[in-house]
Amino acid sequence: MPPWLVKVACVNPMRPFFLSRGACALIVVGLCLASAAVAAERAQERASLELLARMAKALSEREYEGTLVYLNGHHLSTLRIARRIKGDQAQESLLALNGPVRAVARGGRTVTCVLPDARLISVPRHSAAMATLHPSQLDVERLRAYYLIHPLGRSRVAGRDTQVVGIIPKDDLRYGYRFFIDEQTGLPLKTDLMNSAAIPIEQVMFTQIEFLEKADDEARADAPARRSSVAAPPAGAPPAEGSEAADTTPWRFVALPAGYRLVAGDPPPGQAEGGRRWFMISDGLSAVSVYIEPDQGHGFSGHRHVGAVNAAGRVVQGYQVTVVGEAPLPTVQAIAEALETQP
Amino acid sequence: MTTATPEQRHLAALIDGEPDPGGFERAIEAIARDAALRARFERGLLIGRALRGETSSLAARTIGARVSAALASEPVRMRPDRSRPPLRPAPARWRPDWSSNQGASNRPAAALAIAASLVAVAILVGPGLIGGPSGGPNRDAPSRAQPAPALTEINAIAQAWMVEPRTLDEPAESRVLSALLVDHRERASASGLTGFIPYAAVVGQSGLR
Repeated sequence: MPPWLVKVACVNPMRPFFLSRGACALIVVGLCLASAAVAAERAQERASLELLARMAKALSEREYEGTLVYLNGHHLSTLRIARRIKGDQAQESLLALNGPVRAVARGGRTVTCVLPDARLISVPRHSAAMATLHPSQLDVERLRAYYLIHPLGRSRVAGRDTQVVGIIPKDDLRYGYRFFIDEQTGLPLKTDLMNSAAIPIEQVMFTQIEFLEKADDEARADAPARRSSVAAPPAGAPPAEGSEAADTTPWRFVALPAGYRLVAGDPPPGQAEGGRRWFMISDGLSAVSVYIEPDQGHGFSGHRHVGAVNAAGRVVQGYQVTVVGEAPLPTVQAIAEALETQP
Repeated sequence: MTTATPEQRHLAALIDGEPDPGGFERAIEAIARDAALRARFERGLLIGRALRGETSSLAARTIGARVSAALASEPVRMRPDRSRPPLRPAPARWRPDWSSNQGASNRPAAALAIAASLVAVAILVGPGLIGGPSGGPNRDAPSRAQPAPALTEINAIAQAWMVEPRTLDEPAESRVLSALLVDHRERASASGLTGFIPYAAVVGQSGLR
């Protein structure tokens, strides 16, 4: 046997076959390259997750005022945004600067919206402590099956340098995001909501921003850490599970779209206010709310949309079912169709 | 002469789109708890829209169609236009003759158009000035006549160029849906990646479609 031939394992032990040392070296190099590529991809993913964690932290801690433009299709709006922290409570406000007066004020306990023609809508504010979607960390393992989390380079927004992170959907059942994250503060200066074909559906961009504080990370080191909804997971950490124990009785969801599952819900009837039930269906990133209430004739069937938010409605055994979420219409409709009463 | 309260001053600034620092939240809180202030706010919005030439109700948006319908049903003499061939072939019976005897035969139509314009102004401005928030147009009033197809097309084009969709006559289902949208936005933003910024979609849009 020539010395450059190496006996290797084979399927049939009675007929060993031989590979040259060169071939073996090629295989080893190939395996090394493949593992290096995987490691590099994971490193990029980890860097992106760290950026997202920084972004979530900045969103919860920073005080700022600025001007936003909102673009959806051919619809463009200019908005004034302000965020201040009083005590431990954030107060946020948004005001449309063109067209009819529309505004949102998010105060201590309520969120008040002034919609066109001075219609007021107030809903209870939900604190981050009640977060249901990302109770402790972004479930990367779960997201990996449906999204690619990847750095997309650098860009400049509102005169500031940003790093761009993409959360790219792998199918048509969910939207993706492109965040332009301010290198200095971590705030997302531009947020693009994209479909799976990388076409922007909705874009929100700061054209001017003024930070009301000079605090940096060191100055905040002594302050109690606010809860961040995103964090890079420690190695070997179990994936975050949502409120799997949400009691849906007497309802159940069957055949939800791929990757979506029940993550939270209101208590059963009797404790829920006004007889309305609420459930949240999520794939770990996209959130879709399901509202069920006795049909009083003012519900709707079919579908509507406002911006990238789609809504689908149907009546099931005397109950109005309304599904609202930032997800493609087929997904929202499929979730509406997935609801049925327990046998 | 009465002195404006701080809430009223904040409200005026809000209507002008120039809230003072901190005044935005105070104005929102004030109109949330004070019905009279809310009515004043709504009147201010309506007057502002009328002054800016923005329509504010479905009834107002259909004024053009109603005028067109009235003109189409006006018993003026109809005949094919012989002086100029039409750009698009259309049944002669649908085309009024504007080329001759305009002063004589179309006087009723002109009067009706003027009257309709006055009605439009009354509908646009009247509720805010006279009847308060409850004095809005009757959205349940059925349309009495269908406009001619050619005019309908013109109206469709005009509607497509409207600056802002209106929502004053929004049915109850849309109001409920808007409330659910805000509730969903709040529940999702408490947990989601992007915090308060997605509310831009709620405020940036003019309503559900």
